[in-house]
Amino acid sequence: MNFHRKVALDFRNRQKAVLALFFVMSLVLIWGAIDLQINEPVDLKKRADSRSLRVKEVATDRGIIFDKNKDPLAVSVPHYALEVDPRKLINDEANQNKIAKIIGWDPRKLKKIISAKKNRKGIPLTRKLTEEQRKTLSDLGIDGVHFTEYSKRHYPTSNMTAHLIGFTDRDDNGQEGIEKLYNTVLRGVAGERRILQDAKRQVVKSLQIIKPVEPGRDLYLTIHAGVQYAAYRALEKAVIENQASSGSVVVMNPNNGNILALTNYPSFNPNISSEKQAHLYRNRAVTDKFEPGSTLKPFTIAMALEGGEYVSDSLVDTSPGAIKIGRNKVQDAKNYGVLSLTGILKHSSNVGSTKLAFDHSPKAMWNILWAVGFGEKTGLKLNGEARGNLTSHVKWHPFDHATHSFGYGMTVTAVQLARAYGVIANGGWLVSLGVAQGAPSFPRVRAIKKSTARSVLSMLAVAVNEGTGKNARVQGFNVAGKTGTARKLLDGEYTSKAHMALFAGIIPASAPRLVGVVVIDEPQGEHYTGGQVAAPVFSEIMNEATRLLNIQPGVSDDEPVIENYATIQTSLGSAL
Amino acid sequence: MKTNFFVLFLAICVFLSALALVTKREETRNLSKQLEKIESQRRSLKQDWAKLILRQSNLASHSRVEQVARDALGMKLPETKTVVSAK
Repeated sequence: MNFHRKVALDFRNRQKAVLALFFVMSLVLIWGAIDLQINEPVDLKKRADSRSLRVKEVATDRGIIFDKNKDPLAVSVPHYALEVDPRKLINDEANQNKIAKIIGWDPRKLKKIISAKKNRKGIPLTRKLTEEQRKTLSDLGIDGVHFTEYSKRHYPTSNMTAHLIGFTDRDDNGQEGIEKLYNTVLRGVAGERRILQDAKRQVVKSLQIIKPVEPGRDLYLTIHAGVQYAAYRALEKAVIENQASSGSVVVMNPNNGNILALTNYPSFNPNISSEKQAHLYRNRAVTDKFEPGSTLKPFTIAMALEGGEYVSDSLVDTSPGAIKIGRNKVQDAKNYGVLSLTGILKHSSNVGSTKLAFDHSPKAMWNILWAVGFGEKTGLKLNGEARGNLTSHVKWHPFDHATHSFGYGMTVTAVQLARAYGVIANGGWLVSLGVAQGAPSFPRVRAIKKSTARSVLSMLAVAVNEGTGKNARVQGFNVAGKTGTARKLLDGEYTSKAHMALFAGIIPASAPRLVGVVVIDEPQGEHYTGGQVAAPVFSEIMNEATRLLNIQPGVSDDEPVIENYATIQTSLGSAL
Repeated sequence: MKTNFFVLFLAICVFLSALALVTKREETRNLSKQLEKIESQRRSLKQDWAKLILRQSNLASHSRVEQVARDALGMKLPETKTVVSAK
C-alpha cells in the first residue's frame, strides 16, 4: 500500500515538473515572439529586403569628341581594375603565384599585401590590366578575384590639342577645355534599375527601370585635325628655334567664326597623368593678354576711312620720323616722309598712325576698337577666356590716344586678334567665334563698312608683298597681313630685351577663306621681330592648310577681284 | 435576374482584367529584360567601335602618315608651281 502511494506521489511530482517546464518554455517562446514583433521588426525587414531587392546603376560611356572630318580627338575605352579578396586567397599560395605571374608582379609582393590586409573584403591591386591579362585571369576562375570596369579617356592627337580639348579626372568629369565646357553633354546620365538578387549577389531578375540611361552624346568640333597638326608643328619648331618662352596659333574661318586650329606651345600629353602639370594647362591663345603693337594699325586705318575724310590714297606726312606728345615721344624706325595709308601699313609707321588718330576724336578710336571686338569675349566660352583691356576713352590722355593707334596701352588675346582680322576679311562683319558644331552663336553684326574692309584688306596685301610681312607669303597665293613686334612691360617700363613677335594674316587676299594669328612670346635668338619670327610660321601653316582645305592657288573665276588694288599700287608708287 | 446578369458580367470583367494584368506584367518584365540586353549590347558595340577608331586614328595619324611617306616611301610634297588644278 505504502509502495503504491509513493509511486503515485512520484508521478504527480514529475507531472508538475513537466508542466512547469512547458510553462517556462512557452514563456520564452512568447517573449521571443514579442521581441521579434516589437523590438526588431524594422531591422529584420531591412535585412530581408537587402538580400533580395537592389538598385543597380546602369553605366554609360562618355561621348567621343570628333574634329570636323570625324577624326577622333577624345575617345573613352573600357579598362579593368583588378581586385582580390584576401580572406579567400590568404591560404591559397598556388593561386597567389598564378595571379602574380599574370600581372607581372613579384609573388612575394602580392603575398605581403594580402597578409597585411587579410581581414579586408577586397583590395585593389592594379588599374592597368590589359585585355589579355583580364581574359587569362578570368578563364582561371579563381575564387576571390574580381574585375571592376572603368572608362579611360584617350587623346590620339595628344599634345597638339591638349589645351583645347582638356582632359577628364578619374571619375570621368571634364576638368579643362572642351571636356569641361561640354561635360554634361558628353557625360550622359547613368540609369537605375531595380533588380532581384540572391545571397551570392547574382542578379536573379530585372524588375523595373527606375531611371532610363541617357548615353553620353558625341561632340563634333569645327577643328580640322590636319590644320591643327600643321599649326602645332610649325609653332613648336619656331618656339624652339627662336628660344622663345611660349607661343600660340589660331586659325579661323572669317566667314562664320569657326575655329579650325587653336594650339599652344609648350604643351603636355593628356594621356600621361604625370605630364599634367598645372603650369602647362593654360590655354594661352584665350587666357593670355598682350599688347598687339603694330598688328592693330589696320584698325586705325579703318577708323580713318570710316571717318570719311581719308581715302585709300590720302597722304600723311610722317617727317621728321618722330612726334612729341607732352613729355613723351612717338618714333619711327626712320624718317619715311610722306606716306599713303598703305605706306603707313607697309612701313608700320607709328607717327603716321598717331597723326591719323589725332585727326579723329579718342571716341572714334575707341569705337573702332570696340566694334571689331576688343575688350569683350569672343563667344568661345572656353575656360578662363580673358576680355583683354580696353579702357574708356574718357580716361585717355593724349599720349594714350596716340599709343592706342599703334597697339600699346591696351591688351588683347590671340583669339580676339583673329576675330578682329576676321572683320577685315569678311567684308566688315563681327562674328562670334565657335569651336563646336551646332553650338548657338550670336548673329553677326556690322562693324565697319564693306568698302572700308575691302580697302584695308588690299592694303594689308601690299604690307605682305612689299612690306614687313614678306616672310608670310605663301607660294601661289595672295596673302594680306600685318606683322607686330611689341616690347614687353617689365617692372613698369618697356624693355628692349623682351618682345612679343606677332603676325595676323588673311588668305587668299582676293577671297578670304582663312585668318591666322601667330604669337611668339619672348624670342631670345638673333631674330625677334614679328616679320622674322611669326610671319614664317603663318606661311608654313597656311601652305599646308590651303592644301588640306582644297583652297585653290590663284584667283578663280567666281571670286571677286579686289577693287582699287591697281590704283593703290600706283598711288603707293607715286607716294614713295 | 437582370441584376444577377450584370453582376456576373462584372465578375467576368474583373477576372479578365486580373488575367490581363498578370500577362502585361510578365510582358513588361520580358521587354525590360530585352531592353537591358540590347542596351548592354549597344554599349559593348560602341566600346568596340571606340577601340577600333582609336586604333585607326593611331595608324592614320598625320604624324605617322608623314613619317611613313617621307622616310619609308621617300615621298615629298609637290611645289605649288608644279601643281595644276583641274577645273
